[in-house]
Amino acid sequence: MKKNTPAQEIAVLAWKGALPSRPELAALGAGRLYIGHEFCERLLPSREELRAAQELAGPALSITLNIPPLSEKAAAGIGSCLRDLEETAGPGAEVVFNDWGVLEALAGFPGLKRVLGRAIAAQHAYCGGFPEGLLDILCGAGVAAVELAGRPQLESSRSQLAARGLKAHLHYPFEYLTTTRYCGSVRTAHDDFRLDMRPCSLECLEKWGKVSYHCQVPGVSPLTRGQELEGKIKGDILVRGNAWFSGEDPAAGFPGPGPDRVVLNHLYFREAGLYPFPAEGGL
Amino acid sequence: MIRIKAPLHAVEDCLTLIEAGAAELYCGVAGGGANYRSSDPNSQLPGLDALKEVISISSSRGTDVYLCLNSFGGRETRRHQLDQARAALGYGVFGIIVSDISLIREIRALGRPVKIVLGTLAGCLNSRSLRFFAGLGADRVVLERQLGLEDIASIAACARDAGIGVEVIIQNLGCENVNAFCRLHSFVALSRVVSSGRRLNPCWRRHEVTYFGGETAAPEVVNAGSEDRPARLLRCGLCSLYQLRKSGVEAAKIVGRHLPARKTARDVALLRDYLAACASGRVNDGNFVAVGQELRRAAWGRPCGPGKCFYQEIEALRRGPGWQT
Repeated sequence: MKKNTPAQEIAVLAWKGALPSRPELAALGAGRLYIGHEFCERLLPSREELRAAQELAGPALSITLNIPPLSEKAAAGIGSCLRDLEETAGPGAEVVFNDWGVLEALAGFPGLKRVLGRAIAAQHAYCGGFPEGLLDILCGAGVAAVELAGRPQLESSRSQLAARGLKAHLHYPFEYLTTTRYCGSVRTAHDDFRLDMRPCSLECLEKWGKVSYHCQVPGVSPLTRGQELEGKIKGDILVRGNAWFSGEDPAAGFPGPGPDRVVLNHLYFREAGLYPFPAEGGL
Repeated sequence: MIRIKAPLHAVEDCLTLIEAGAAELYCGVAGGGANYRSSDPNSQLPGLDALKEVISISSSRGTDVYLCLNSFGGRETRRHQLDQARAALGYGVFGIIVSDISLIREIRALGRPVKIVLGTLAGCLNSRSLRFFAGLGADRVVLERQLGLEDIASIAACARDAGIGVEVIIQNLGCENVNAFCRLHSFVALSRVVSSGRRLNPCWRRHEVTYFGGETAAPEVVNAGSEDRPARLLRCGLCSLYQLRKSGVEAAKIVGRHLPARKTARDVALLRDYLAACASGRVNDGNFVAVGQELRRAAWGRPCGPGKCFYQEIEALRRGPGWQT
C-alpha cells in the first residue's frame, strides 16, 4: 500500500484475537496499529492482549487504543485500561474515544494522545462541517485529531479541521453508519433481545452480514440492495457485530491525499485476500 | 416525585396533556431547530407564535415548557436554533433541549436563565460522560435509552453528586440503534414515506440481513425491520417507574412528538396514576409489576402482552426464570 504523501500515515485496524502478522503490517505500509474496538466494549483488549499488540508493534509502530461507547461498568474500569496502555505502549500511544466519558477519564493521562472517534464525529456527518464551538471544546481538551465517518465528511470538514490544527483520519474501506444494541452477529442465534442482557461468544469475529432492502418502487425488483436506491451508498451495506457500515464504492479507489491518516481494516484485507504477498521490502 | 414529560405538536393539545398530568411539555418549532427526522413535519409547532401561546397556557398552570433544539446541523441550522432560542427566552420558556454539546455554551451566552437539558442524542451512557456534560453546564441529561435499571440507578447517584438531574425515556422506547450514534436517519433515499405521510427510517423498513461466516455452512437470512409490525417499537416502561423513582430520576419522558395527543394523554394519565399509587404506599417490591399491569389493563382495556416491556429486568420478572433461553 502506497502513501499518497510523505506526511500521510497508514494505520492498520486489528480485531480482538486477530492481530495482523508482521508481513501483513509491512505489506500495508503500517506506521500504527489500532487495537480495541470503536463500537463494542466486549472487544476491548485485556492487559495481556495489549502487551501482545505492543510486542507485535515493536519500536517501529505506535499503538492506538479504540474505545467504544461504554456501559456504566466498563466506564468505571476504563481508568485501569488507560493505565495499562500508558505503561505498556510507547510514546506515540493514543486513544480514540467514542464516549465523552473517556475524554473525561483521559484528563488523568496527559501522556496519551486524544482522538475523537467516528461514532461521535458522525453526528456531524451531514452538517457541512463541525460547529466551531465543538472544535473549541475539542482543542481545549487537547484533542489532536478526528476520525471521520466517511469520505463525504472528510471533504466537508478537512480544511476546517486543518485550520484548527486537528488532523483528519479516514477509515478504509468501510464508512460508518450506525451502532445498534441488537448485535447483528448474535441476533441470528438468539432472536432480537437486547444484547446487554445476554452473553456472547464474540461471534462477530467470524460472522458478518449483508443488508438487502425490500423495495416497493414500481419497476424495481422487490428485493434490492441498498445501493440501487441510494445514490450516496454505492457499496454494500454490511453488518458486523453491533455496527453497520457502508462499503466504499469500489470505483472510488484508495483515499487520496486528503486524510492525514488512513486506517485500513485488517480483517477486510485478510478475508478478501488482498494482501500483496510476498510483501515488498520484507519485514 | 418523577416529573412526567410529554410531547406536544399543537397548541390545542396543550390543556389536554396538562390535565392528564404532564408536569413538563416539550416541543419543536418548524424552521430547522428541532430534530424530526423519523416523523413527519407535523410533529412540530408551526411557528414561534404557537410556542408563545403554549408557554402562556402552560406557565399559568405550573407546567414547564421545553423547546427542542436538538438537531445536528450546519451553520444555517445553528442560526435557526439561536434565533428560536432567543425568541423562546423572550417568551419565558423554562428549558431548552439540545444535542450538540457546543450549543450549551452558546445558549448560556444569550444571558437569560434557562434550564438546559442535554438530549438523548448526545449519548450519555455512563457516569463519566454525565460528569463531562455537567462540566459543560448541562442542568439535566437524558440517558441513552438502551440502559438498564441498574446502570440508571448508578448514574442517577452520580448525578446527585454532580448537582444535575437525570431524565429517562419511559414510553415508546423501541429503537434498535443507539440514537446518539446512528446516521441511518439521514439516509433519506433509503427511507420510505408511508401513506400517513410519515417517513420510515431505513432501520424501520423491512429488510433482510444475510449472514456469512461463523458456524453455519450456508448463509443465514434474517428478516428485520418493523414497518409491518410498528407496535413492536412502542415499548413501555410503566412498571419500571417504581425503581426509577427510588433511584432519584428527575423526569420520565414520553417519546413521539408525531403521535396523536389522545394517545399521549392516555399514556400521561397512566404514568400519573402509577406514580400516585407509588406515592400512596400501595406499590411495593412484591407487587410493582402487578400494579402496573392492572393500571394498564384499566387504561387501555387490555393486558400488556409479552415483549412489551422495554426494561428487560421487568420483562424477566413478568415471564419468570429462564425466559431468555
